[in-house]
Amino acid sequence: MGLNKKVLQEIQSRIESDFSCIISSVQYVKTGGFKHVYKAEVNGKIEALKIFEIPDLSQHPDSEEVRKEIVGRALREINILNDCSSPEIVKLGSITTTDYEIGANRYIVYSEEFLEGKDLDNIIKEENITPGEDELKILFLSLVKAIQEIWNLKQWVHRDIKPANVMKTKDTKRPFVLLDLGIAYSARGTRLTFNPLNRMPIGTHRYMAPERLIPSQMHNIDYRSDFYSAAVSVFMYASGKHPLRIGIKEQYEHTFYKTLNELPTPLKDLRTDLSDDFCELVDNMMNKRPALRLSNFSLIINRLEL
Amino acid sequence: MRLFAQNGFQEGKKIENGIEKKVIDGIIYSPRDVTYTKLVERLKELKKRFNYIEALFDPQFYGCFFAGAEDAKLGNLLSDYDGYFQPRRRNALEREKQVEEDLYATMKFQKSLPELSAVIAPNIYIPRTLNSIEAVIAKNFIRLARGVYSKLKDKRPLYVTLALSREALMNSEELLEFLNEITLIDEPPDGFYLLIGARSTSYRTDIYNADVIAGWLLLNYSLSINGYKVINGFSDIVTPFLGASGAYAGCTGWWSNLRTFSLERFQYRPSGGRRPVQRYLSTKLLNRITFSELNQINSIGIDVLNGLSSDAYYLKTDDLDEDKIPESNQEIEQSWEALKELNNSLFNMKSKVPEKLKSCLLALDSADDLYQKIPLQLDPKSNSEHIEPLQEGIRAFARLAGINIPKD
Repeated sequence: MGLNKKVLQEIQSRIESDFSCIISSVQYVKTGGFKHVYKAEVNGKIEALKIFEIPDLSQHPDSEEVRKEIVGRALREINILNDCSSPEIVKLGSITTTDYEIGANRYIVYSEEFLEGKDLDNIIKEENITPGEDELKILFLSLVKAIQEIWNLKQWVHRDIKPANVMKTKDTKRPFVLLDLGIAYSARGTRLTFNPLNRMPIGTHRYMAPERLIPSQMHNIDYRSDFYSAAVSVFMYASGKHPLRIGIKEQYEHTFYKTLNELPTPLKDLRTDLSDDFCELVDNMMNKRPALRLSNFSLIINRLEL
Repeated sequence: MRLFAQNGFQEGKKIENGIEKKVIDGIIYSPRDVTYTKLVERLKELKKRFNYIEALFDPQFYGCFFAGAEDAKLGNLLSDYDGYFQPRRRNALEREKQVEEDLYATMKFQKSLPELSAVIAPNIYIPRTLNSIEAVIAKNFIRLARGVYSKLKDKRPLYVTLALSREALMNSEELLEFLNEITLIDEPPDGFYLLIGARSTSYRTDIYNADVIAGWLLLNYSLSINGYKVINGFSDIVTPFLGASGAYAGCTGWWSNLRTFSLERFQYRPSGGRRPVQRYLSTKLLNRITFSELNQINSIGIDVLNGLSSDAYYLKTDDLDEDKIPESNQEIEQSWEALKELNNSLFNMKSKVPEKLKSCLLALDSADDLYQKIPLQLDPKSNSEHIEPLQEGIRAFARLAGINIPKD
């Protein structure tokens, strides 16, 4: 996976020319949502090179709309990161936004700091660990603070909080960092984004709050949707299981049904060693109704601080 | 959970008595029923004698739409409280500026009463549905209250009135949508003074309706988990159940119109009618029965007594005694004492909401069993018709809130 080798080399040489820098040791990391991620040294410093690939859409019936959607994602992520100062959110790197036409495709390129560590999704899948309550509280607290930061900026909602977008780092000052704000949404007026290929609600469905799946409500979401996704992520990190028992390959219909109708497994059922207070907080944040989730940042932070 | 006296006409020494007997924790004054001079005097007296009580003032701004009607029953509101209480039409309150002015005037009035423990911001009444112009106006009062209050530089806690009809409460989807908005305001108050309106204080089933109970519990739950203190006006016997869902306080008074909230009290009604029959609030039946019913039930050996000191006002000392008719101040003391007992004993305050709800359901089952044993035709207000709506209401609330009530 990743970009065609020639395209990557072309992008690399254009960046070196435009930014008067030397890029070396380029290694592919992952691809997702039109975005390719590489680890690279920029003037000797390791950064995460992010390349949005906007394919040739001339044959697509809504080509202009789809193109705008993808470009919008890239620019939105960069703009938000540029405004953020919270240690719980990934920071921009030395390559600021740049835009290249190569062949029929367009590429938007920028860099972020490279975080040494592993994302929670990989940890859950690969490591048989049982994190203690202190670590879980630090994780939840980091996510709540990140959600608070982006909400306070311009009422942004991340919309894609999930274990794969949370990095567990080796830095004790910022042990968990939230990544990937590409599909963030502002309650102050961003057009509601969509999956440009199938028009389904955008994001990873099994982490989505119920209100994001209901057409009459999805236009009025707020940070409490992120709380839901954060709580599901914490639940999974704590127990290794999805609270609604939704598998990775579950059909959309089943995922939607379970999200809208089934009660989550109480965390205490799977982790009897954790305190009632912590389990209740996680369970509460997974309430189907945003008005019934705790929403006061100070109250939540007070409950999570060690 | 706290219990406040809902003040009304003919206060007498009821409040002092209730505080001295430790059956109430505070009082909410209503300007309709007390002159300004008397209010100031009473607040000073009470705070001097009982500094620890909470004293609040319900501005009753929700009566403002009646103020233009010649036959409206507004008591002292227009004469003594015209500094903030003025006739208003709905379209005037659609302008934010008018809302801000009314908020300012009402809270400024309360600033002049330093004996009050907190300030209650005014609001209008939402009569039919939460999807209405009145609901938008009510949300504006809630949204703007803190900002206006900060101009007064008053450090006391701020509550905002939220007054809505039982009809508005019955649509759970609209209620949740409404809650979505009011739990996410930028400058929140410290709490809410919540009023649920019946069409009439004599319609028992207006409040004892499963959807109404579920909605009322839901409001308390949603607001309390978000850190708001919720004081439920006119909550009477529903008070301890609201406590199970997170309420901070409930209120009740000595007349039927102080036990159920209804705008009916601001409207003209032909005067007259009989004095109400004195009643006994049984913690075991979770309802009031008449004093004569109490004596009849006692005489056949069924125990519905609370075992509290105020029982003495109702009990015959020997078989030759006539039925004892308690005085009005004794009746309200008995009600407060019984409610205080229920607030303290219906569930363990330290337990979690699901366990509290379970305890409420067990108490209702037990009340139902006790009713089955009573071989008498009880007065319509004394019978067991409240039990099923409370049970169903609690279960419906649990379903809406995603709460699992433990089975055993």
